[in-house]
Amino acid sequence: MIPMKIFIKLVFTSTLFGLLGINAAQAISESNNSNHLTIQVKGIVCSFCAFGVEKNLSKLPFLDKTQFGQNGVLIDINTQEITLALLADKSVAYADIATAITKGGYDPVSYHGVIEGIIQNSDGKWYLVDQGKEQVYHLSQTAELTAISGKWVLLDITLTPAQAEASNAEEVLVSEFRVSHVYELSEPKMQYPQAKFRPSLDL
Amino acid sequence: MNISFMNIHLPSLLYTVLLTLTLTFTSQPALAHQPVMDMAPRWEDGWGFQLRRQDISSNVLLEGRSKIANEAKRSKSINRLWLEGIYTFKREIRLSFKLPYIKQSRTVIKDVGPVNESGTGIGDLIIGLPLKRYKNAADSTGNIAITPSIRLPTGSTDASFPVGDGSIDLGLSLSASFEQTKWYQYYDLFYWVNNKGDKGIDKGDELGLDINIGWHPYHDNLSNTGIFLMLDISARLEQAGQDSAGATGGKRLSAGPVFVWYRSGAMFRAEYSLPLYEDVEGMQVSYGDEFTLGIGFVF
Repeated sequence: MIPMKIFIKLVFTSTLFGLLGINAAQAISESNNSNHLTIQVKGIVCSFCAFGVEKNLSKLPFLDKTQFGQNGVLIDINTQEITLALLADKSVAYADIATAITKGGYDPVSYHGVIEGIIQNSDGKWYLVDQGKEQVYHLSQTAELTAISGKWVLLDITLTPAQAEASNAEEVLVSEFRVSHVYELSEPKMQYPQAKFRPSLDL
Repeated sequence: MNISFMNIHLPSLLYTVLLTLTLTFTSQPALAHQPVMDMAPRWEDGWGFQLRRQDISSNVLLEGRSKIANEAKRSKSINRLWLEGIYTFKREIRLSFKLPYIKQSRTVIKDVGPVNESGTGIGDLIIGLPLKRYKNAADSTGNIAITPSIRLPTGSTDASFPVGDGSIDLGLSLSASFEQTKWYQYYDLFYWVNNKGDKGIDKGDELGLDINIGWHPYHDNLSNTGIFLMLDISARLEQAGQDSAGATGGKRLSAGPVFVWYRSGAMFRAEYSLPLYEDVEGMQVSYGDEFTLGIGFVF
């Protein structure tokens, strides 16, 4: 039998180590919020339970693990939102995100992000081609798209859970989008101009 | 006839049942709500374990509800170290176990007068199969669960104060928990069928109700660190029975504060509980104050 005094010491020591770790984690700041994906999740108000979702998401290879406490995942139980820090040169596997959350015990409601790329038209269908991530986003027809065809743009996008689950590493289905910026020719755009992705051939 | 209670109209029968449950009791230790076993892990292939050190002691002698003179200095001191584990197959299905290591002593009255008795060793193993149904809403989450359990006689009955009872017992729990960002509620109604054991141990069946009301005053999103403060209320009703020291059974209502600190997958818990009401069968030492410390981890 472990004497009470020793047991208390063990517990106290474990707790102290944990408490000391808080400052180190908090010192890691959100250095960049321009490449984040935010997911609204139903019921993620239980912080201890959210550990499983965080563990699952932190295994995804396209996260910037220099952010949010060294795993690229920030769960806000006050707003029921998960924010993922994305690497600029990796494609985002939305279906894997959906699986990680669902298997973690929660239900995603919607996905919100910002994407950058060229607006293209192929056989009457509209796309945004993100050459940095080598991904193509399917867009619904709007008059605005015709006006900016061939231009570099920033889009605020929303995906439903079904669209996220149906997306793959190359093609992403989008339910809503809003053009937040159209680049001028002189503005810097592509971070990865050497990307070998050729969307017109793959679509 | 309906009874109005805080604007809630309840049939009188339901009111009577609720009141009875609230005033229930037992001579067995509470297995109150534990974060590792309920709140997490709720993810597929998740698992966890916790160690809980439970200390219960009393030298108060009761006859029915009355405190009486304890001239023979009857007393008891029970220390249990629980190893508890859980595995989550998927959100709805889990498997849990609880195994105590017990060191205990008591002073009882035998024909020759006061006798000191003691027992040390592994106690009875409890295996449970929590079956849960979750409901995730916009700003809350909750679940209801039914948990069949079995208690196996892994504890010895050889000691003068046996650490096991020698019987296979069956339990069933119905529980519900609800959580918002700042508040947590947990209700667990359970029943144990205590079969006749070895060496004259024949404890009565046990009905219990555990309630946890929790406040979540602090949480840091970045480090997933926070604190829960809870009020634990435990009610027990145990049918009359007997063990080697005499009568068992009675009613008890106890309550006390619970402190929980967590960081990512680690949890520390401290709780204190004292009996507010006791009505024992025959003459027994009071259940006594209970102090519990625990650490748990989920993976």
